[in-house]
Amino acid sequence: MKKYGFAVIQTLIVLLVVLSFYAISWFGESYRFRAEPFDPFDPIYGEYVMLQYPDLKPDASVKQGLVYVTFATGKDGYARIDQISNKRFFGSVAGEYYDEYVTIPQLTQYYVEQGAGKGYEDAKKLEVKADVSPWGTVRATDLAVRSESK
Amino acid sequence: MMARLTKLKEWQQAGLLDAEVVKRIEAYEQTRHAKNRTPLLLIVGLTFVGLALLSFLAANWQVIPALVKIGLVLVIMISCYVLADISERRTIWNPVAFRILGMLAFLGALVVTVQSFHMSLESSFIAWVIFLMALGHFFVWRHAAYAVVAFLAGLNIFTGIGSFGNEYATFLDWTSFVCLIIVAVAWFYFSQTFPSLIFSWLLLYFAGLELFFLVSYEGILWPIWTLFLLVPLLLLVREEQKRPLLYALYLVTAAINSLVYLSVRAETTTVPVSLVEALFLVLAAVAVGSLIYARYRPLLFIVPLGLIGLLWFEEQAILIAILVEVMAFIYLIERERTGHRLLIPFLYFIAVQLTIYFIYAWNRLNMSLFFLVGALLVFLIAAVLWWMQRRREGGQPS
Repeated sequence: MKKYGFAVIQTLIVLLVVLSFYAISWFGESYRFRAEPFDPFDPIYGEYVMLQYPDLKPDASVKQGLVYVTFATGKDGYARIDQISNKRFFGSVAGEYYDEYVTIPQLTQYYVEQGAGKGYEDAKKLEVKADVSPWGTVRATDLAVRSESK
Repeated sequence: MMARLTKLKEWQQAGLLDAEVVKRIEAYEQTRHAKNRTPLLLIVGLTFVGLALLSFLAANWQVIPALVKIGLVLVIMISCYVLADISERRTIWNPVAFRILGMLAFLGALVVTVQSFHMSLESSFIAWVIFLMALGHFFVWRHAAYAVVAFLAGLNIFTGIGSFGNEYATFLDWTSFVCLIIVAVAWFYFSQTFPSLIFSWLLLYFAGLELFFLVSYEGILWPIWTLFLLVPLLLLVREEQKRPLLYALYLVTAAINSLVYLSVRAETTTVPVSLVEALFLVLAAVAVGSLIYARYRPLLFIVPLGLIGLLWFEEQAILIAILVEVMAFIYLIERERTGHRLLIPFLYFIAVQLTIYFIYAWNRLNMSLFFLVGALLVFLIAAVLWWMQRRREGGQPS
């Protein structure tokens, strides 16, 4: 047991992590976010697109810094901020309100196929599908070019 | 091999060895040879298979489903542990190396998992898991290599703490911070060996510095507070002969601190210190000093750092310079008188002279004069060094 204990424990940990990611989708709500690429990045570990979200603009009552948000789907089919506060509340997602927009750490970088990053950066208008769990974690599931003409 | 056998025959004919011994040696060489042959073939074969597999995977990595990717890395991880087991049983290769490869594969599995689900790598979760697993390896097999892995992973935890920035330390950041301190103290206490004692000590010291980033209180005395707070940690060291190396760790840290404080104070004018904090630091220095005086005398040299807070109020840093200069000198004399090696005290002494010289002379002298005086200073120091060394080698007790 001593010999393979760590192999077993480590396998279980990876499986638990995988499970926790799936759980976000199983129990969470799906939203579509309008997204824009920013700050083209050329990292060593795989290629990803940095994203910011123009719809996630809080009102003036919220202070810059650490914020907690929940989302709702608006009339146009894209997610917007439902509730936002500087204090943690039930079901909220932690993010950072900096400059103009709220950024959610799990949604700021999206890994794409090698060589595909430039295409997304040029397209500018993107959308991200993401699942948000009731316990406040987010999992991006899809990145696509936005088809609306706006 | 052949040469050895001919030599054996020669010795046997010369009557140096009898036939039975020769037979036994031959039999031994034969089995050893047979034992070695399989692993070599295995290595060559495995290398080729591995290369083929790798290039196949690399070509198709993007289109492999996430779960298959993760599964593949997990298979690599498990086979590392299997190889470690084989290598341990047959006493070939190095089981430690395979287990470390296993941990690396585990790290790979986590990274692949996080990436294929488009999660960010920012949090300290991965570093934490690797840290705990490496510590687990260390406490099961007690090998220093696992301690190195644990230390590296531990350092990475710091980069994940407080990722939201200074004043926005979350509950999770604090939990991570407190857990790190608890685990590091436990590592320190239960290992009682080098290099784990040093690694866990360093993690604790860095944890003290990390407070800079976690709390919004803008103090500058954190490093000294941390150093003082770590003194009682020596109570946990069971073996007397483990202490000198740890003393050195405290002293080196204190030395670096003294030089940094000296140069920062001389170069800045605006960094404030609260008088209350400075006074408290003096009190802490007295408290820690009495513990040191009672039990760990060689550490007395870190106590004067407690005065830095008060001396900070003098803006030209002359008082700090005097304090550091005097301490460096007393330390040198004390080491010389007690017959210790003088290399480290001298390096510190020279570092202090050069720091003071740079701070005060750079802006006030013209460049050529600056270098001339600098050269004279170095000559002087070298002369003192030479004189002291000569006196010691001459065998005259001082």
